[in-house]
Amino acid sequence: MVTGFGTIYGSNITPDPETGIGEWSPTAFRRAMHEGVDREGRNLFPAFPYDHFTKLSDADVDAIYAYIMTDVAPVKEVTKEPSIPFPLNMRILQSGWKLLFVHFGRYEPDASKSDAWNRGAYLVEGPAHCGACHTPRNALGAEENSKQYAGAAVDSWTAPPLTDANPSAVPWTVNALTTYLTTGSAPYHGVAAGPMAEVVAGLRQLPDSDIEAIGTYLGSISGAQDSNPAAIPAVAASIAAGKPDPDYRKDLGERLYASACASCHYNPSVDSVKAERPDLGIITDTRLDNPSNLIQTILNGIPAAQGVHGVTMPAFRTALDDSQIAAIVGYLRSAQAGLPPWPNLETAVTSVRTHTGTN
Amino acid sequence: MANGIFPPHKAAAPGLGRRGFLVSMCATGAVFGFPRKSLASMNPAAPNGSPIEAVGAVYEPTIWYWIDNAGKVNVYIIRAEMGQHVGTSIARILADELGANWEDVSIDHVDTNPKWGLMVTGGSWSVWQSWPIYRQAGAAGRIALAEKAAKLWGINPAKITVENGIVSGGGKTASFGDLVSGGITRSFTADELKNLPLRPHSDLKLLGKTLQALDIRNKTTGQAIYGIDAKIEGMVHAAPILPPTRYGCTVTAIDDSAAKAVKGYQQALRIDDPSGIAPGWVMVIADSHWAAQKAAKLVTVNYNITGNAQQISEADIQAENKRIIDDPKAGAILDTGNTDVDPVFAKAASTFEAEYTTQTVLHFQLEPLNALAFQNQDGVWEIHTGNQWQSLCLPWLQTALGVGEDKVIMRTYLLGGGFGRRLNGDYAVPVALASKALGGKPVKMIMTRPDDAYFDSVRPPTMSRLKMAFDANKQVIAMDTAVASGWPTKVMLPAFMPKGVNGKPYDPFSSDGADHWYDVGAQRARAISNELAEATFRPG
Amino acid sequence: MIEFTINGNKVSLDIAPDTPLLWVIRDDVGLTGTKFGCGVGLCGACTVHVGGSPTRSCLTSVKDVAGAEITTIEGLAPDGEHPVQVAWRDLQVPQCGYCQSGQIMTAAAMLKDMPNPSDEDIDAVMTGNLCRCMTYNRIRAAVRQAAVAMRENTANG
Repeated sequence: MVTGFGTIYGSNITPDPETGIGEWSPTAFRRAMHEGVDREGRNLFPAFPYDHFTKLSDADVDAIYAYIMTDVAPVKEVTKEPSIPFPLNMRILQSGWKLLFVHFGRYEPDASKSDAWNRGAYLVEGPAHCGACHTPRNALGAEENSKQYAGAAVDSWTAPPLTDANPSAVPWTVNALTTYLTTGSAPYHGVAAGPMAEVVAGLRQLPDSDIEAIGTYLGSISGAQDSNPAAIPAVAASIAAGKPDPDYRKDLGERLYASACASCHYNPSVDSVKAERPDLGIITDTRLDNPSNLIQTILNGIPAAQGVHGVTMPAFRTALDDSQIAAIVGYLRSAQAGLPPWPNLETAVTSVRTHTGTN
Repeated sequence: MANGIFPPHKAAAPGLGRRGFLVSMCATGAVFGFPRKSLASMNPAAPNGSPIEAVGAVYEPTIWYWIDNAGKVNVYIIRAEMGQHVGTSIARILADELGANWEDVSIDHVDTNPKWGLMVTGGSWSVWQSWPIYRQAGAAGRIALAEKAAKLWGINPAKITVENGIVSGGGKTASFGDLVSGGITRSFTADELKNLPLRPHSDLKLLGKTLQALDIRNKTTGQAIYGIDAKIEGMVHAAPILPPTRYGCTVTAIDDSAAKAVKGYQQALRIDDPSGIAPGWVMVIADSHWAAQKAAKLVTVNYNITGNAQQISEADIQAENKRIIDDPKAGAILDTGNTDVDPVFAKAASTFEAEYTTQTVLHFQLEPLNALAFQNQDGVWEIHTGNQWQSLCLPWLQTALGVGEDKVIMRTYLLGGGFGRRLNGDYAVPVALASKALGGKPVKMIMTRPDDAYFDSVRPPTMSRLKMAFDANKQVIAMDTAVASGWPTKVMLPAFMPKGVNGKPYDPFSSDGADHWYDVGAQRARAISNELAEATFRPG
Repeated sequence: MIEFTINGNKVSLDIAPDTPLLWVIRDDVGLTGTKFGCGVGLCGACTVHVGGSPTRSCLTSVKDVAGAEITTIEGLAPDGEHPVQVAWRDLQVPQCGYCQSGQIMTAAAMLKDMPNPSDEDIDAVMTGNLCRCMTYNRIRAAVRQAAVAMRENTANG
């Protein structure tokens, strides 16, 4: 994982006795998950999200322990040392970090909420650790509690806000979130790509009731209610802006969009919008404060295994240069989404193109 | 292509997997190894391009078609099919004159053979040039069938009609197949053909009627076979590395060390072209097209470059156009009658002068240039490609390969657009030379889109200077034009150039219209060749 | 090994994962109806359906279609009688024909999403499929005719 502080490598958590955690007791494992220390009591870097895992029930942590010890094949491989510079690499400093930023303790249900909400809250705050990406971090890399789920940058992607600050033309509701997390896409919001694609792939292992619970909890954070997309002005404006323009040849971005994108993204009305025909002025990525997700998708495409399962978006990385992709992105932002232009787009494309992160 | 549509390609990662195809594809309807090796022509109506097979011994009234024992009429077409449905048009002319049933007619786009004469498709010539020949050919068949029936039935051939595939007279009828099965040997001399009676236009039944062209169906099902689809067992794939200038480059060194990491890469061949058509090429050879493309980006070539062609810009060529137009002695003077315009301009009440320019134009046919070449078991070099002017290209291939005219043949495929680009078959020459370097092994080259554009024989930048002289009543009394550009005909087929009234040759395609037929009094039209353009690229 | 389905048949290939789907279809699967035009996703000649959506195969790496269902022009209708193909023949749309596989695949996918397209809709969707012969007017007319036929099929069907 490439972080703002250096590169951290995932530890060997296979049950190998020498290089993994094979010799660890259930108690040691629980201490790591709940308190962020290894078997010898040394602080773990918070890239390991113990600030979330601390909320896990003892029973769930024990179940994870049992799974690793019995179902995971041991691998002999010494964990690489992180490339975090002095003095941040001093694990002793992590004690202060914990004191300042981590609220240790198991999840406590809220009796005023439904069972689904509580289940969702437990999963979101604990094992799913959504905030690890979607909550901005302070200068020391801790999630800022005052800005919970306000959105953040991750590995040259953007984890959008999960609050009512989310700029999607059609608000994220319980239904939209549940659909998105279940299928990897939502018709008016876009598809799960990059790091989020892995999340959706992981969630496929959960029972539907758990995904619905997560949708219920996250929907309560956004606070939005289902509404008729056709009645939303930003939706109508995007559909109208997507109509073919006889002058399209005059603008590079619009010209490239007409040639390379419109056959899959054009919508005559809101009725034809669907997950595999997303309207690019409506989706979340075009409306975020940061263009990185849109740039990522144009550069790298969407494989059949991500987003709408079985449907592929081509990768334009080898086909279009930075100025051309910047032109398309700029056109979509201004003309179709009708939002203030993103600054320095070409530089942003160069940066995303050359970024080699974990995603 | 700096700052263009095509960004410079970064080095690609080496191929990881063994290239192979491990699961049976028999159920997909895949066509492996289109069997063009064994064919001598191409039928655009058959899913695999195979011409129809004749039933029994055929009768050939002329070289242009045969009729078999089943009454099928197979018409040979020497013109390239590139969207004009030319085979259908020409076969229709013949079938109408013959009196054939259109349902029985098929077409056969032939490979090169000296017996066909000049093979060229362009200039909007095909139909009107074919019209008399195929009318005569149809008439020959009609007369031979009538004579055969007349003899069988013991009646006067003049009493026999041939319509819609049926020969009738004296109350009797016979099909084409019936009569051909009985054996027809009638032949026609060239003089006889010219003098055959043709049907009056009012009797023509097929021409002028809407029909579906014979090549349409395959073009809607993915079955149409273009040059890019050519396939020969055992072929290797080639990607060119084009020299920085069209002429004047000699390869001095090739470094392919980075390309060796590409799975399927074989070698980089320096192409030495005795014909001078395509100097300075390197061909990167690999097991697959994609491997060749990837490897080509990793091969570094050094050149010795003579001349300054790479510094020549559009503006330089236009400046040269202006310079040569300014020289009153330059160029050929076309035959426009009274060319002595100077005295008329001297006494004119008023004059007008203007310059008109056109810019470089790419052909940009959608199917990028490609060709497949190999030496067959008879020692003949086969060139499989879509081409508009085989008669022009064959001598280049012979020179390049160092063989006689009986040792090179061009096979015929559909063209994914011609637009004049494929009049110039220069792209086939380095492919033939690559095959020769590999001992005659089949080599298939497909250009990338940027290479296709870079190697285009572009329509050159032109400049026309027009001067008009008027009398006091504003009537035109003289017109003086000068047209300058690079000349395609001079570069590709100088013998094709007629001479002007001052004895100098000119390219009629580059000055057409300057020698118009309107009455303007004294008229001078000068056509001037821009040698700077001709040294910089290959005008088309 | 990369596995996918093409025209209803499962294939499994041991192949460089970055190979564009276009060349896999043409050179490894052996179906040449899908054409190479520009290699940068801007001409549409290489359009196939991946999961029913029109997809530029020249920019789609074979690794990205693992598990997907691909349809090429050869598999659009087993007998070549898809309403779009029929309309294309009725109106004699193709000239040189090189772009037509891509045109037909884009049109067929569009009519699933837009059963009753206006000329404006047709222009918007089909603009990215170039035809150097300029058959655009007939393409538009054929899309309209195919739309009528497909709606009638649905109504009768």
